[in-house]
Amino acid sequence: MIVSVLILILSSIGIQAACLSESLSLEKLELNASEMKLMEDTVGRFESTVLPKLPSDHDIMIRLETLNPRVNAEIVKENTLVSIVVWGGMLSHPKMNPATLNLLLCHELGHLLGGPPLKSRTGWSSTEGQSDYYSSYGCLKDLGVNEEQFLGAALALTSIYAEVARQSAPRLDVCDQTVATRMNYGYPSIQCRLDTLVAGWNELARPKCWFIE
Amino acid sequence: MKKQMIFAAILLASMSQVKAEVTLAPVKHLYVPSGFDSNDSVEVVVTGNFPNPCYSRNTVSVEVKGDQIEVEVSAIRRDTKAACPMMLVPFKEVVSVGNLQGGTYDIVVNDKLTESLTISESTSNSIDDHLYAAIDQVEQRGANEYVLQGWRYSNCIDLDRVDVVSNGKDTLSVLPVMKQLSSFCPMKMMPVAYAVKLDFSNLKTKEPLIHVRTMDGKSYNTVLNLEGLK
Repeated sequence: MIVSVLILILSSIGIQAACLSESLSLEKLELNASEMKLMEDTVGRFESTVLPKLPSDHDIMIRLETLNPRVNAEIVKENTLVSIVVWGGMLSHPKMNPATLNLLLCHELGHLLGGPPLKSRTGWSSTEGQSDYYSSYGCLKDLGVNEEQFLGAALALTSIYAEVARQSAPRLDVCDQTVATRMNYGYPSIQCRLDTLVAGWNELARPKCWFIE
Repeated sequence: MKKQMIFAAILLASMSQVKAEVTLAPVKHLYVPSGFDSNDSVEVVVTGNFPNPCYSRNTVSVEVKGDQIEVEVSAIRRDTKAACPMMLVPFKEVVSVGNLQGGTYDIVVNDKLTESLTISESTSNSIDDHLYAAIDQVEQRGANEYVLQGWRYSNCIDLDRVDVVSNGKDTLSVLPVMKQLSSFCPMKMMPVAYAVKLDFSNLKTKEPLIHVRTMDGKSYNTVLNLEGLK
């Protein structure tokens, strides 16, 4: 297994200017030094705890693009090189904290390692629902997160998803009652995604709001 | 009681004069827009002509069986004692196929029309922050010059760019991509018009489809008659 991890903090003035022109929200874009260290430490623990256990021959790099205001994250794979990118708008979101960042990183890793259903028959990436399930089923537990921390992180992360996707905020006391007639290979509803995280944590079956046996 | 029986008899007699039959619609063309990926709700467009006004649109069913998508477009044919004037009535059905796993599918409509449909794997695994404009009309202003008309629901969003994707055959997909300017989005209803140039020269039909992706995850579709526009 070859795992090489890099944390790149992109802070060039040129990148900052280009990104700010497309800013979604400038109220609290930059992390202060202690917040940045907290995020770096979280990523460091994630690297040392989760990545070495991976039965993979991929090179995995985690990039924190702190000055990009986009509230998002993604995983990109080019041959054996895998990059997980978390942008500044996500890192500096008021709901972001170490447990939420761990869940987000587990979700992105879940696209690579979560297994079927895949987005494409010949592709590499697990669907969003499957990546959610992977993230809470095993990955997050490996990081020593307890149930209270998990529930807080799951609600926080899906609430951020809801803001970005302009959907209603999800709740822990309700479930998405939708029964999918076909497998959802795209984005399940935000409530369905929270239900999936909870199902994964409790090692229950994947919810019917997106998954078909 | 007697009055009710007479009323029922009259009703039955009148109903017997108008028979409605569900039949397969006479489909003529299947448009398959390009550019769908596994995050999209896929739509295709079926057109045809009813032979007379006694036909009307009915239901559309979609069944995905492995890599085959079977679409059945039905119509209602009314047999009335009144004459049905001999007149072609064009119809258009926008068929929601829904979300599909990336791959190549054969799509068959009424066992008559067949096309290939390719769904690409989504290029990004990020949160779904894609937003298209709310378009409900396309108007031609000049040769190749069109205006997308619709609504801007808040001043926190604005048009970023308009991408145009051709399927090289009969359809131009128009993607009016919006960008979010701020996180505060007060509800407003502002009419908008976005000019766009559409080049149909690489298409192989005189009746192309303009397929505009819209904010609600669906699309606005209009079929042109380029010969009629001359």
